Amino acid sequence: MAAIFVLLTVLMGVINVIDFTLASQDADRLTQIIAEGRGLFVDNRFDSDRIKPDGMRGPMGPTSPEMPDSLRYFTFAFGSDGSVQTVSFHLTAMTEEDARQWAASLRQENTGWTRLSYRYRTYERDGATYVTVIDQGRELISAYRILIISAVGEAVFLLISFGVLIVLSGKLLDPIEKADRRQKQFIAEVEHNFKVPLTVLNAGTELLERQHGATEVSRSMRGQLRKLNALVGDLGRLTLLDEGKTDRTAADLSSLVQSAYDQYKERLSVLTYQLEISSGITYEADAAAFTAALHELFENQVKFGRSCASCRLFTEGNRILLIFANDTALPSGQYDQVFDRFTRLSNAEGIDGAGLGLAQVCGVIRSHNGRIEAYAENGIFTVRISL
Amino acid sequence: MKILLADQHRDMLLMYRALLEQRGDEIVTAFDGTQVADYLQDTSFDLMIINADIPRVQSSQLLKMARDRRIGTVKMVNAPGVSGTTDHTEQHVILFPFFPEELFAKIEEACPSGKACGGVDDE
Repeated sequence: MAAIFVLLTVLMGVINVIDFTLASQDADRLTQIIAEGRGLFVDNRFDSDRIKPDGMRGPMGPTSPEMPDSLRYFTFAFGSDGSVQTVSFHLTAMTEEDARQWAASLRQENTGWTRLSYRYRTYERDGATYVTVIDQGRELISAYRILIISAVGEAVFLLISFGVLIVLSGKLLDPIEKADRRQKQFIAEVEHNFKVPLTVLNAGTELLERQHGATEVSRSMRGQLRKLNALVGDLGRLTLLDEGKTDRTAADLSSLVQSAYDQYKERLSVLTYQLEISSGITYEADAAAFTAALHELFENQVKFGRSCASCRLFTEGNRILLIFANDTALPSGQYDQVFDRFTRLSNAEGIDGAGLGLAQVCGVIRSHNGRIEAYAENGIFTVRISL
Repeated sequence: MKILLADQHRDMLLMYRALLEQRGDEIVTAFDGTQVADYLQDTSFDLMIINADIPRVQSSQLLKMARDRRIGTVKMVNAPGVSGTTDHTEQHVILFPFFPEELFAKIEEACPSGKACGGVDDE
């Protein structure tokens, strides 16, 4: 919509600028002819351009055959001794005396528009200063009409487009909104309805182990249950994000990142790790949600880092940048799809997870009005967060 | 310890009754609010573990009754978006889903060994 508005405005602007430029050029041609005639409109060219015997019309505009009779103008000559001579006066909208005073006020100028629709030219002839003013009202009215019509037309077009958009957007976007709502509702329902059965299963596994001792089967069940519990936890955090529940206060991001790193330090020690945290970086953030996001990002490095990884928090201008990177086997490219729910990239095969971690991170960052992107370049996978 | 275990899900009652009995606790179960109210009026307990969504009588009323009778309480809550026992300001509240050891820890919080557990303010 904005693009259409800009395009139309530019188009109409260009048309009107050209129109007014041509009108100025036409007016200047007339004042030039008058200047060449020492204040009088005399041009032999018009004699040959009169209506031809066969009825063919001559040129239009400043060289129209009707121009000598229809041009409304006056010229005054101002002598160096202070004398003023009326060279020509063909206006009815004012008295000659008013026109003289007006011309006097234009003596110091060169050429231009005055009183909206009058074009003037000041020039020297025979030691006197000539001021010629021509009325271009009738000529300019078409230019003004085009300006008004284009402005009104653009406004009407925009109003109609806006109306059509409102009417159609409901039909076009409704299925998308419904699908999105259904997905969020589904996740919320799953999250809510899985909790009690999971709690029962947690207890059941514990009971079985107590009654029959821990076996390979019971340990496997317990492991799967822990994954399910974690998945439900992830879904729960997504539900909170969907509901827009954040509790933002001034948070020390430097400390949050350092603290999260400290918890993963041991597990990250298998990688060559580069940590750079600028101190004292604060941001209006939901510290709990942000911490959860940081944990996901470090967890991802533990899972997917092969030999090296890094985390950098710093400011650039008025932006805060948080950049997580690790080596990867992924080919170079943009990988923003990794922020979609239940999306796993090709390098996740055989690694635990449901494809919800980075979706949560994305949700947290977006709920903090931040931007997040993921890309791989020269064997390095990077998640770049800008706040 | 004598515990009133109240939950509308019979499997919850079955599993946690067995686990708590293995700990040596005496368990009485109730699956709706009216049963809980009846038990609270007729029987004395050290602790009540109750699902916050229990039907028929609001759990807040039942918790108040328990508190008035100086019975310790643990409230089990199925809140959207949160789980386990962390990040919740209320005392003696456990959030679904949880593991048995988390419930045991919560019971220990509500009724520390060797001390009376009644009268804990959990609202």
